[in-house]
Amino acid sequence: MSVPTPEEAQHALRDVETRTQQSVDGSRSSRWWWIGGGAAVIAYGLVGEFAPGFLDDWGTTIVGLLIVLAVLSTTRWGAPLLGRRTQPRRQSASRQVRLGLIGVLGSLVLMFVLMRLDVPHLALGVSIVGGLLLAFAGPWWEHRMLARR
Amino acid sequence: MTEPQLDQQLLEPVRLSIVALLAGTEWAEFAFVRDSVQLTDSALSKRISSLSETGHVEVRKGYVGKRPRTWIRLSDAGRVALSAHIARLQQIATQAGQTTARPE
Repeated sequence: MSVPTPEEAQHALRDVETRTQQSVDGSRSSRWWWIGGGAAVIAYGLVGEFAPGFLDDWGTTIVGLLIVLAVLSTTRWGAPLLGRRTQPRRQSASRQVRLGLIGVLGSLVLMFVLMRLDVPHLALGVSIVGGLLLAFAGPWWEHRMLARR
Repeated sequence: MTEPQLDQQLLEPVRLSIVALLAGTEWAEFAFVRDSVQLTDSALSKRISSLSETGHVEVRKGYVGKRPRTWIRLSDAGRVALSAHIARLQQIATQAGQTTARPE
């Protein structure tokens, strides 16, 4: 087996770095998914505020559809339908559980605090802030998570 | 401690590129790999077959709707081989840096 020269080794390492970056870029969702998701969250809050009866009838169906979409995006067959050509490598289970627990606990604490404050139009405010956060910070957060794998 | 080994398959730059690209993914579509490494379908097929024969990658074929798709995945053995190969390349590059930095 021929051993690469130091220059060839450095060149190969640079190429590996480039391919890793390409793989991160290829695993990112379209920015439009994030904007659409943010708009949907805001719309959900608006409908809840001004037409609560609609959510009583359709809320469960909408949440069910969102869960189906989320699950679909993690499968080899569903992801291409949503415009993705790769599936990013999963993080270790312990890290996923840790992050999930932090997210759930943080949300519960935030909801509890906001409910205690008795803020008017709370659901609408939360949906607007959440939607804007999803639309603008979502792509940044996704890139950060993918780059840290 | 055993020294990391170079992998014969990964000494070829294009095959190393393909494997490095797959390392960050659970799986990738054939077309994504083809576009990323800028190869023709047949040139990529040849290299994927070679990597598949040595157990570096796994290939799955299927359909999305009516369109045929090919997915490629880096195997566990391929991942181990890539890690060792990169570690050895880093050793070679570092040793060269130390040699050139040594005073006369």
